[in-house]
Amino acid sequence: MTLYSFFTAIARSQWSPVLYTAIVLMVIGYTILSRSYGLGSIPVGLYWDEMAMLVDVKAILATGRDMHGQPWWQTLFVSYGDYKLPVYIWLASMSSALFGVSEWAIRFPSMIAGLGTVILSGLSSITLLKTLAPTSTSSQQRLLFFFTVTVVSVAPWSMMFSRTGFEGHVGQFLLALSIYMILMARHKTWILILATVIGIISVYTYFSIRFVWPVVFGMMILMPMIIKQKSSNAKLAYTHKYTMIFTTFAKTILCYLIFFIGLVPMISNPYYSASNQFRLSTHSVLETHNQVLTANTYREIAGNTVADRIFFHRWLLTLKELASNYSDHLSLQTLFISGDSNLRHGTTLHGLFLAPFLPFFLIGWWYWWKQHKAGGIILAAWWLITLLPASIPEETPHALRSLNGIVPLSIVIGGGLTHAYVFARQHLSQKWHGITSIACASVIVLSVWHYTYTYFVTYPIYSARDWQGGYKELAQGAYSFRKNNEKIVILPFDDRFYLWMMAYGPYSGKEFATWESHNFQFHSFDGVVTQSQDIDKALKDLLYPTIIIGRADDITKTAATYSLKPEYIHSVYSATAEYQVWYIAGTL
Amino acid sequence: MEHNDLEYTKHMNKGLFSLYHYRSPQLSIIVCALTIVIGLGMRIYASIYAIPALYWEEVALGYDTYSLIQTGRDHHNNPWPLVAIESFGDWKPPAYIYVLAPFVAMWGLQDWVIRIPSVMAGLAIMIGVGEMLAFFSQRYNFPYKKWSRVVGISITALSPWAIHFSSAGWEANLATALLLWASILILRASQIKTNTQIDKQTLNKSKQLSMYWKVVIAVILLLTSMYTYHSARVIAPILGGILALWWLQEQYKHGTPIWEYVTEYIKDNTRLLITVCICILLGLLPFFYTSSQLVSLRFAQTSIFSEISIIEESNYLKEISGNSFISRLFYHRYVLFARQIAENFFSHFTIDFLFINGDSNPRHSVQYMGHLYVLDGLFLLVGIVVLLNRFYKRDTMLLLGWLMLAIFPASLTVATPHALRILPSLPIFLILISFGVLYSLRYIQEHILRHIDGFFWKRKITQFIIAVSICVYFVQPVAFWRFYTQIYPTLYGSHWQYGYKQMIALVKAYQKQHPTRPVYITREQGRPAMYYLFYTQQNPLLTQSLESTARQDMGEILELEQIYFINSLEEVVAQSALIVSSATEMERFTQEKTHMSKTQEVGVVTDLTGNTPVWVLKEYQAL
Repeated sequence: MTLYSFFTAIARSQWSPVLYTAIVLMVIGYTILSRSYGLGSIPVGLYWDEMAMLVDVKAILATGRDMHGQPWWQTLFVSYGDYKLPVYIWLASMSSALFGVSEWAIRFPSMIAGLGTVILSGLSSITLLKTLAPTSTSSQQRLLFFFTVTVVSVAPWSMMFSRTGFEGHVGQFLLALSIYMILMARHKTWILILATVIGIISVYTYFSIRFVWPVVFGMMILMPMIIKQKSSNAKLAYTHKYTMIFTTFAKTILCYLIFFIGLVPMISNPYYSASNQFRLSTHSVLETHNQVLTANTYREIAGNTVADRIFFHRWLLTLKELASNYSDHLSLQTLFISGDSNLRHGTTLHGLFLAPFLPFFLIGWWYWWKQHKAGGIILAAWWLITLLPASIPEETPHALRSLNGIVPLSIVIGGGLTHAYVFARQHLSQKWHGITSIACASVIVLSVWHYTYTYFVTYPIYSARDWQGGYKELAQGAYSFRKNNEKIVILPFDDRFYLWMMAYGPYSGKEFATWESHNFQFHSFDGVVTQSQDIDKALKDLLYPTIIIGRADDITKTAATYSLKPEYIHSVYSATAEYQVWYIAGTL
Repeated sequence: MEHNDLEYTKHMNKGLFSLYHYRSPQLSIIVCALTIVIGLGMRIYASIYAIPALYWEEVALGYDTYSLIQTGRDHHNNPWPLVAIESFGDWKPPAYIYVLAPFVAMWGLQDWVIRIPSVMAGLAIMIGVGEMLAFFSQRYNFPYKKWSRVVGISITALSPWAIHFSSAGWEANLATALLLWASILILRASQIKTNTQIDKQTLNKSKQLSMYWKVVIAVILLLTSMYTYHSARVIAPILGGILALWWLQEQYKHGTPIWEYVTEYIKDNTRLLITVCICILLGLLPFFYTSSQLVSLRFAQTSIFSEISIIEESNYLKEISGNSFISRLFYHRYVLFARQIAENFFSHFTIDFLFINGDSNPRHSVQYMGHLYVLDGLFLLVGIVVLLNRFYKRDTMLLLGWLMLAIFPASLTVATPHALRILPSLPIFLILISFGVLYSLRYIQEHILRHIDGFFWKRKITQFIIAVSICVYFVQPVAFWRFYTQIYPTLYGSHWQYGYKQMIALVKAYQKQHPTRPVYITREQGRPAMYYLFYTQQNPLLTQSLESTARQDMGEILELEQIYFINSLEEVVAQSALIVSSATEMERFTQEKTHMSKTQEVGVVTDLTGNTPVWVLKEYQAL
């Protein structure tokens, strides 16, 4: 097929099965390519969490135990003291077992989850449409599938997290899979149980899903009842109606029971309460200290009447804070223009979705609400529920914590694109329909190009600091200098740099559990000294030769203080700082 | 409008659902009048008590008006400024001053007098929104159409956004009122059709004349708004264009060839068109002979195009991507500017800005809630759905076009979201909320009360639901009012320069006792010179005479006879003087100069809590 005939066919809406398959494959091809190209090197380095997982994976593959010597089947990995859930580490261990321990292998599960999310979004959209409108044509379903898949495929939100080893991304995939299965499980109870099992796995993947899944599950399971009630033949017989209610109720109870039983291993883990304490220690709206102060000030000034105590109650102020955080996630700015300001969560030049999709987002809500009201309610509720855990912490908007909203939002935008396309086909002449379709497609393609170019060319440079750029080279440089087990002193610049030393040092992973850790962090091992008080001691009792690592200016100052004479210097340039490794043979 | 709607409305009006059975037309008029009185009362009260002091721009407006009345020149010695008036190094549109002039002439320079035009504009917006609702309810046969005006007026009367900006001397509020009433006049004039022979015959002369004057006054109002507020200079011409298109569409008879329609229209309305053209020409004439710099200075100061950071970002991105052709295209500064504009634009539509926290500047928002009530959000959503679903396309385009247009100029500036700069969008928000209220009531009747039998119960339940809804809704204005009148002045008085008036009074009293002794007032808290001119009602001739001789900074006089406005107390040179500054500055100065001088407290001005000193006045004696 020539390119000309390809475009003409699109313009004339002649989507033959071959053409349709070709376009869908093209989108899938872009998805695979954009997610896999340079996976281990873009973003430029592994973040703390990813690196800690790499170290754990290294240890698990060598010994079957994590870096602290705990067995791999544990339900909470202590890691560097941040108590990670186990599923991602297991998946990364599997991929590392297959491909060898590398940055690429650590990010591989997330990439697969990204590809899965693309397909799953399309399938969920079709299932939702079939459920709500059993009479919808296959052409409508195919269009909705294609557009939804395209939206997720090119979404910066999806691409960004498909290329990083964050548990949140795999968690959202599993949650979406669980919801998809609930949608599929209208007549088959075993699928519902499978959905629950996947829900349990998703809870073991990402912290906040334990709050989201039960609510979304309840909502989704009630949906068929609502739809049946509202459908045209809905005046169900009295007995039939109550049988259905009873059956649904029984299924729900059964699933919740399985779900809560599934959580027992996690809850019974000795680190469970510590992990909860750690996760909930993030600054959040639930810390009502400020609200209490503000409420007291307001009440005092206003005269502390009953009305004042109600109007300026701290709970109202907390609710206001929560609503404000919600608003950050709901804003069109965040969704389509600027995204999350954290460079690990976005390029900051793009929104969570590409800007040209903004009008289709609005049309999408119109479409779902107007044509399939229940669908509109489900998608809105799905999105809003998933935003709750993301809106409680103070740091908003947060692309990672709100990632569970990607599927419902993509279905909304996909619906908007479908509706706009069908509307244009019905109301415009063939010529104008062709022109508008190609114009819209061109704008989207240009935007995809802009994003892809930014992500692969520009972003790695300006985001290097946020991805610990240069750490790997620094660790490797230090070990390349080490010939006779010299002492390595790390001047303080990042208290988790020891993870890079463990990952890139000449260790098989078997040694980690034998090393002494303090608060689950390794400050002194195999002649490597990282803690600041140890460093002072180490520098005072320096035995030559020694290797010193740190920021260039810190090393220069230290060298001047202790009159150190470098034999070799290895410099590593990151975007914002210069790091150096000095091999010290003696004093001046 | 859909056929079903008309059928339903007929059913509503005739059937048992109708509320007409138990209401009289007089009742709606009485409620309307009562609401207007309450709304006006709230604005007057707020302008005197809730906003505790005049901001320096209000003071400048007042003194310039005073100067114009006394001498025919502003205090910078410019005769009758038309396009722009100088204000602290900035050039502002002057219409507010001319509207203010009669009130200053009548009652002199008083705090409350300066705010009268804005309060009046608030009243005009209140009635205007009601009028808009009445127009649309007539056009679309709204549910409860006789009450739609009341709903519009009530929503506006109680709106925190409308109340706040009607209670201080904001030119934007006046411009909004002018734009609103220009639109209302055009909409009302369109109800008298003239483009067909039949209409022309049936139209009597007085109706023709009424239409003629409505259009001419609308054009004059649009032009006046351009002399009132900066952003109206962008909004008014485009809104005028949208209204003209709307008008032409409204008069258009389907099937008539466009060219034929236009020529016939011109032929039939020659007199009107000539008058409109003359008005526009005369109205815009002053712009042609005014320096373009004066007109565009404000834009240059506030626009994002003056932001060097975006150009730097563009250069950085191009540099790190090798300055390739693609990078120069993708990271061109215009692309980044466009992105910034889009970001600014959408920042005005966030839930946080509209319903939860509002503008972060305490002068633009009460800080306790958003610019609209939380429940308004629900009604706004319903209103938008109604607008998109049930209105003629041209009406939808007019209202949404106005909304976008009113927000766009603010998007070109820094510091967004900005409640003041997008104030011309306020009437549209209020109109949409009112649509939402009316259709929500209809929804309740249509979907909830459908299953209840018997007229009596339907009526009672309708009454009950309306009463409960009103009560629930009213909790919000009550909370707002409580905060606005009790807490806002105390917490945010400093943002309104509270304390200057009291400080000037103390200075005046001191000057009476020591007429020859110099006074030094620091400028660390704002612009004291203008407050001094205002509260001492300085002879404008004297101020004008200083224009060419006295030291100035950003158009602010720095010395006036024995008064010196200084940056810090270090600049005090006299051996003996009254020194006035903030408490911190005074403490620092007295500690540093303990061995060289002695000071004696003359007075202290505290904030509204009575705890924190705002100004400290001390007699200074060098040793």
